[in-house]
Amino acid sequence: MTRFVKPRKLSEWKQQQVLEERFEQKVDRLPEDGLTEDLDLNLKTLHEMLGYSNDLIIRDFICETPRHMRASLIFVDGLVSTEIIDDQIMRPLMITPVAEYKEHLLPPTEAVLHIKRSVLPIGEAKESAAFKDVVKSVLSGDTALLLEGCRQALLLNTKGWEKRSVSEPTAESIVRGPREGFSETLRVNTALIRRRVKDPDLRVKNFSVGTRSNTDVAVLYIEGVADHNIVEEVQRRIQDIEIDGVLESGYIEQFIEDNHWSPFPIIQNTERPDKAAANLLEGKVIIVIDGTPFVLIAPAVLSQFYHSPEDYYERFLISTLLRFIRALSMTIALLLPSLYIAFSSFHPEMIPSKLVIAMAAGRATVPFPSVVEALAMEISIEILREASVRLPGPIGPTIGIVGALIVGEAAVSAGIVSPIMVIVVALTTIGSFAAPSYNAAIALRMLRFPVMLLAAAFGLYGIMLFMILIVVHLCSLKSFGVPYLSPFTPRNLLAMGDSVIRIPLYWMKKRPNVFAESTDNVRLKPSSAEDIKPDDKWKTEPQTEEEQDQ
Amino acid sequence: MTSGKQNPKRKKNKTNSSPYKMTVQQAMSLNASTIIGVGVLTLPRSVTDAGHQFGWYSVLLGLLYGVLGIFVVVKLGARFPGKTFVEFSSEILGSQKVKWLGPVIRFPLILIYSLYWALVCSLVARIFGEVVVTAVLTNTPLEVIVGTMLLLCLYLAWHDVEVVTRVNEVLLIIIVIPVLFISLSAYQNAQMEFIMPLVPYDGYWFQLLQGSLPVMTSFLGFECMLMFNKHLQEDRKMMRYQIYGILVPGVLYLLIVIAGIMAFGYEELSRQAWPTLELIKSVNVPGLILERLEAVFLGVWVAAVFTTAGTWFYCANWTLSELIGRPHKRRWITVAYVLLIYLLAMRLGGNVQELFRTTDYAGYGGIVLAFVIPGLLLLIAMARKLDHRGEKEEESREAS
Amino acid sequence: MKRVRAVLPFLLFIVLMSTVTAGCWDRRELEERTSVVAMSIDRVDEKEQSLVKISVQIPIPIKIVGSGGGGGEGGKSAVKVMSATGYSMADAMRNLQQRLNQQLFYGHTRVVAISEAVAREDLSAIVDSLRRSPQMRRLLWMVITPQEAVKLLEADPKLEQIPIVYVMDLMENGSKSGIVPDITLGRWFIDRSSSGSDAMANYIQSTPREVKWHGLALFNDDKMVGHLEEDLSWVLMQVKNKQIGGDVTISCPQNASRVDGIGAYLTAHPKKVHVKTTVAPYQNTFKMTVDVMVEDDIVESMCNADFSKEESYRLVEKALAAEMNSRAQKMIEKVQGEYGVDVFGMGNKVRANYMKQFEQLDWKKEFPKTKIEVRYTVEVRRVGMKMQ
Repeated sequence: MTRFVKPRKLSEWKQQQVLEERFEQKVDRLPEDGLTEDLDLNLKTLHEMLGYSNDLIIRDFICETPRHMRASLIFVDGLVSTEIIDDQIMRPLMITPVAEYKEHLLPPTEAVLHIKRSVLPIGEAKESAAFKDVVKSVLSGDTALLLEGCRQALLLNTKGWEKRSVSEPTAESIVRGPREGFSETLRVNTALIRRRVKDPDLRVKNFSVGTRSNTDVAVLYIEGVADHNIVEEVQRRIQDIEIDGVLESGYIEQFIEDNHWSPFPIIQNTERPDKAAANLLEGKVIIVIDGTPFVLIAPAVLSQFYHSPEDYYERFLISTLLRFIRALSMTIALLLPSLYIAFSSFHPEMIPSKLVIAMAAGRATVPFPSVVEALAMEISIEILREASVRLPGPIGPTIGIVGALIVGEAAVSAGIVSPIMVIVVALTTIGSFAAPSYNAAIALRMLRFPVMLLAAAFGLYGIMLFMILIVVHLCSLKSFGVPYLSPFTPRNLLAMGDSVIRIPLYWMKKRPNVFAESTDNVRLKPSSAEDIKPDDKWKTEPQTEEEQDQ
Repeated sequence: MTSGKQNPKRKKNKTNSSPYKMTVQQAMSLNASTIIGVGVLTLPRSVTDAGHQFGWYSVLLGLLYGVLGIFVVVKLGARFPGKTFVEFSSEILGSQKVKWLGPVIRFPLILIYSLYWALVCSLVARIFGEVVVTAVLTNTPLEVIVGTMLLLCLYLAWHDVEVVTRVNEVLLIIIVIPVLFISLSAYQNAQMEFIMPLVPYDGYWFQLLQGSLPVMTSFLGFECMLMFNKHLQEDRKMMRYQIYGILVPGVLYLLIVIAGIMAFGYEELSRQAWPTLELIKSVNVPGLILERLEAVFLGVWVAAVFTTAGTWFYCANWTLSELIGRPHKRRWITVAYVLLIYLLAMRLGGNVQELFRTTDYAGYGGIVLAFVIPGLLLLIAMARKLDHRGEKEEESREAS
Repeated sequence: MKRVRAVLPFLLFIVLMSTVTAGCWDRRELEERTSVVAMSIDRVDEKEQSLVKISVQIPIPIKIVGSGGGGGEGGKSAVKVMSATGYSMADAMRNLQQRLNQQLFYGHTRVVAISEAVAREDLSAIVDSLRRSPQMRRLLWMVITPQEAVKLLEADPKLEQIPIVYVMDLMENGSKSGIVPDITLGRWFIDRSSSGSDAMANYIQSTPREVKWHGLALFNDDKMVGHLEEDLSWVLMQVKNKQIGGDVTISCPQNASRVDGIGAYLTAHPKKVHVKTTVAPYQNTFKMTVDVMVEDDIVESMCNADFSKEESYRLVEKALAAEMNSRAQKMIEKVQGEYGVDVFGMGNKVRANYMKQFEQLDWKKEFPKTKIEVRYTVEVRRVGMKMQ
């Protein structure tokens, strides 16, 4: 049973708190009563709670330090590192203690504390008396140490499952920039971000979402930079989610986004830690979800979908040019086929006369109207694209080339498709790949089809109708209270320097308060830009040469 | 909610207690893009009809009237911050002792405004349809063109005011840049002889004054600020930006009219049905992929028409809903209203000449509604010393 | 209510989409249009009635080489010329349409040829039709032909697949290099409408194998009244449009003939033209003074001139200026004296400067009385790669 709670206005705060309580109750369906002094009973209860699962391992042994007593280690096979258990837990516990301990035998209750304090060389250990905590910890890779005659269990961090190492991100590849990508482990991911932003103000807040999956979700933001209203809103919406399982960040995204019907992505995702860090610095909120390398960035605005982290690594002229190219290619991906339809079947007077005759000749054998031709070609290229994603790695590109080249060529020579149409489709497809953000590209791919139909009905007027419809829709969108079309509207000149164009880094002296708190918006100390002015260097260099000569 | 420093902008967006306030630039764009509409296509002809090669003086005069008009409207609105025209008109016209007097007196007035906006919206949609059917889509039924345009207006009317302002802000750029490009590139065919002499002599001044009347109607659209007054900031810059909002279309009109006169001469202009389109037809852009730019211009012009018709319909709908005391996003009323406008658009004038005449009459009515009545209301408000400036701030200060 | 809000835009979208399926009224594919690239207008007598005969040149796409569809057949013509008659332009077009399987499309018409006979009668009906049609370009070339206009469409110079492209390029390149005046349909409209100027049009001669620009046709209102030869047209172009015009060949100022008795000539190529036009009141009427300064390059000389000496330049310059002045004089006599049409646009200049007086005049009657003076000065800038 999934139930999504729509993001709710703050005025309905009370109602939401009621919901939160109900949510808590669901999580607390584990027995409230704590551990007993009877080890066997405890083990039996645990066994029953976990339904005698085969991967649950209970290791009984005799503990020697600090005193001779029965003890049990409980852990889930595969989630723990057996090396840690062998070397750091079992070994110290089982060695006969030095003489002094033998003399004052500690009572079992204090033994737990003693073990935690002075026996086990384990980084993270905490005692707990509730079965609920024990089960939760054990399921997330901890090892529970239960002692005979002790009402407390020691929960030891032994997480050590098989995980993918940090590797190069595959979905967002860039030429210049770090090669690290996020992996599937929450802690690794937060660490990757933390390593880039060593700011004491960086906050990491953990949540557990999913009544059954109990997935860890971390919300990251920089206190004082991120607008705290947005931070609160993000946290509130995450807490509102009542779903059984969260398997990927897309689950969270779909529950906290503002408009479910919009084709445009309202939350950005990335697998690049550098991009996440840059967004943190802009005042955005990062949501990291355990089990997926894609982290969410909220809020998002339209102009970010053609930005790439590389834009900031390359020099500004090049980046500006690249952004123009990307904006152009996204326009091509959206509009080129419909423009072809509009021009060829409504306004041929706009095409140069010599070209129009060649085009007419190319179309002479084509039995379909250009809209059908375009739709057929676009659909088949979509099929090809979808198929090449599923194809086994090595033959994927080959089939792609075979499909595109051979089918296209054959279609032209069979006279089903005009040669210009092949160019149009090819450009459209390539254009949609130039978009750095995959989900924005999908939106454009999708919207291409209705525009084509409208272009077939009204020509350029139809395209314009559609564009106005889209503009009105985009204007009505908001991402966590931030208008989707900012900084274009409401206009923010400071932020516009980093939208279609990318002004030099040393001009970005202030942080635009589109996402950020307006209190502390200094990005660049005023002096630093002057210090590195090239003329100063120019003056000093000859002097040093002279000195060397002397 | 935790306490702390609140970003004032965001607070407004999230809570319903304090309404959305547009920025000064947004007010400017709203004003400018509402004004730029169907007039662009015929303006060079209509001003040179009376004023011959001095026609562009009429545009200057019209611009002057427009500035005056917006001055009155903003001054009037500034006395009642956070209130729409519907709300403050009853306060101006009524009395505090007899509570029912204001609403009763304002009722016909507001109804006239609402119907006027509906009428001009339908006229704009109709003229738009006529141009499209004449010049580009000759076989497409007029009903479909007008209908699709009104559907877009309907879609806009379903949204909040902030969406309307944002749409206008975005589309203004899309409108201004190509129009600027086209009017500037028309100067490649310009001949100084056609616009000389620059100073009109005695006989022409009266004709120019006459010619400025149709120009005045091309500057209509700023009266929408009476309604949007509710969402205007109390900002000293507001007046300045509102005047910029008139200046943007003013300069654009001036450029197009001068380009038309210089490229064609007034005698050629008088023979053309849509002079601006002809202007684009004679622009030769070497090396461009497209040989003829009319269809592209008409595409851009769709946006200009949409911002005009859409905003007017929004105002018509908003006025009516406030008058009958229902939230203006009640959808079925809006749908009914748009249907009415559609029928009106199809009934207006059999031929193009009749349509132009109806437009002239509507324009003269518009001059009364945009210049005269706000002026009178401002005088009454000044006489009665009705001024709510700064009251809101005090209230909020007390509250916090 | 919330759900309605989400669904309504989609309803709207569906309505929009249903219009798409309901009909695509104006959609007509490229191959479903018969693109007219050139049109000619003649007048014929049929059944004792004078009818308009319009002919169109239509390219046949699949015959065009390199267009992909079926590859061109080199020998056969890639265009078809069709004619039809009618009471009016529209009537003739309708008659033509009846004989075609696809809709005629005039959006690509680049040349409209009108026979001199038609032009000398009256152009107003034709112009009205051209003005009204939204498909017609303003930038198409309107030309007058001495013989039947359809002959121009039938002429095939063989250098272009579509013969009219040859004419089009001839005009376009000519106007770019300043040999052919840039008179498009729109330009004609403007000159025709203005009360201070009269219109002119290019005059094109054709044989079945060749096409040639042959000066200008001069109009009085909608009627053609005269024709100006190339060399006189070039003077007019220099005076009016600052276009450079064609090369000028004169007899050598130094030696009238070469040794063997054959004439000795010198050819100069104008590089740049500076024009200063002033209009001033002059004995009850107006006077237009045009100072033309031409920068020339010597491209060929059979003269005994030593171009390392300053005097030779002066001599040549003087001779060239004299030649140009005499041509100008001839041109003015013809245009003002013989035809009395103000193709200079002098009226516009008078109006620009003396508007009050102009308004009281009937310029058509006034123009023949006015005085026009053209004064040439020539400067030779370069003499090419050879000095002596």
